Amino acid sequence: MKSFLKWMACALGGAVLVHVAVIFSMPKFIMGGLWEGAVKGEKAAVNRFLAADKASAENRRVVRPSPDLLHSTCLVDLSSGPVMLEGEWLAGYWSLQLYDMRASNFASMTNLEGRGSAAQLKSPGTFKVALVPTPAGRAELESQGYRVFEVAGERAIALVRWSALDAEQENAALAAQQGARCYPG
Amino acid sequence: MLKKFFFWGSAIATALVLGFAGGGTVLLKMYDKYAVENGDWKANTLTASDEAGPWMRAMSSFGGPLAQRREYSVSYRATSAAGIPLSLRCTYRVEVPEMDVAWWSITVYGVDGFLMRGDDTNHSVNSRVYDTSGQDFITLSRQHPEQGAWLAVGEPAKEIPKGRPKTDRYEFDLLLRLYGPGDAYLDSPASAPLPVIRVEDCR
Repeated sequence: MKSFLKWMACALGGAVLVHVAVIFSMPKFIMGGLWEGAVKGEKAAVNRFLAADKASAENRRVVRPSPDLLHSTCLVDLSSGPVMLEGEWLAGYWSLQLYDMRASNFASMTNLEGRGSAAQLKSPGTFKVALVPTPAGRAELESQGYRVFEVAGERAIALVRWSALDAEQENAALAAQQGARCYPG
Repeated sequence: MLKKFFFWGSAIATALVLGFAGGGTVLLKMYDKYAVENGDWKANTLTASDEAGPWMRAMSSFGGPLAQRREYSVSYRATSAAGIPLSLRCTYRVEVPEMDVAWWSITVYGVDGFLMRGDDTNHSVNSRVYDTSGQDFITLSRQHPEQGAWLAVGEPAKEIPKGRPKTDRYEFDLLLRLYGPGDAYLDSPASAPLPVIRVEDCR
């Protein structure tokens, strides 16, 4: 009886530990999978933007794609220093989301001012973002007009979305998508 | 010695099986349990949120790892109309109320989560298209309506995804994305105004 209780305690205690390990490691595992999958693809995109085609029924790489958005992704590798993201929005909605490898959306930017139906889109403009591994050099980058974000770890994923609600917005989004740059600083 | 090996070996094997099964259950089954319900729509309001604990963070990274923060966008998913699973045989009327958002879109997906194949590419209706349609509803059907905004239902998915519960009867689903959501969608997602999906006709 005593040995059975010992077995049960070991099995159940171990199960709790394994469960917690699975849960805590899942975001890193998923983000690592996304990163490796993109790197292994034909269009490896480390420190450069990969412009995704408009969503269609034939494109079956991404689940639940939005046909109303165009997006570009950059796999940010900070092992050699800062990485810059630059581009513009012309017409329509724009947003930039930054994710660390724990799947935390640690920074966001948009051209939407306010919320709800009263929200207004800013006039066409540009974005300049610097991702840095350490605070060193931050002030200098800020003086050059960059919005600086410090990344936990050496890797991050940047995702830019431009709305394409009609032909006019889609053409503007395509131009902005092609002009966006992600590069080591 | 052998007895000891089996004792500890079976305990460790049991721990691994139970631990992974528990983790898998959370990831595959529990995501919907945490969702807020609003009519036929369901939203998971903790997705990509700082308030999300480790379990929700694991679930949302599994379900949608690059989701936007809810201050930027809130998504609701519908798999039924008045509680009846969405069917390829039916035509639906989606009535869109005044919504306090910057813009919105509704997209149709097959049960595999991809845009449905078919002759037509009206996979989505957004607020801009809707506002110029001249009607106060969207037709959701396989056949092109005579007029107004149209969400095209395409061919059924060729493969049913593994892990789909046997109790799921819907044949496609809708995803409503709200960009720049107002306070109602952030503070009261279960009662904020949302489109109503009505069955018009079934063959």
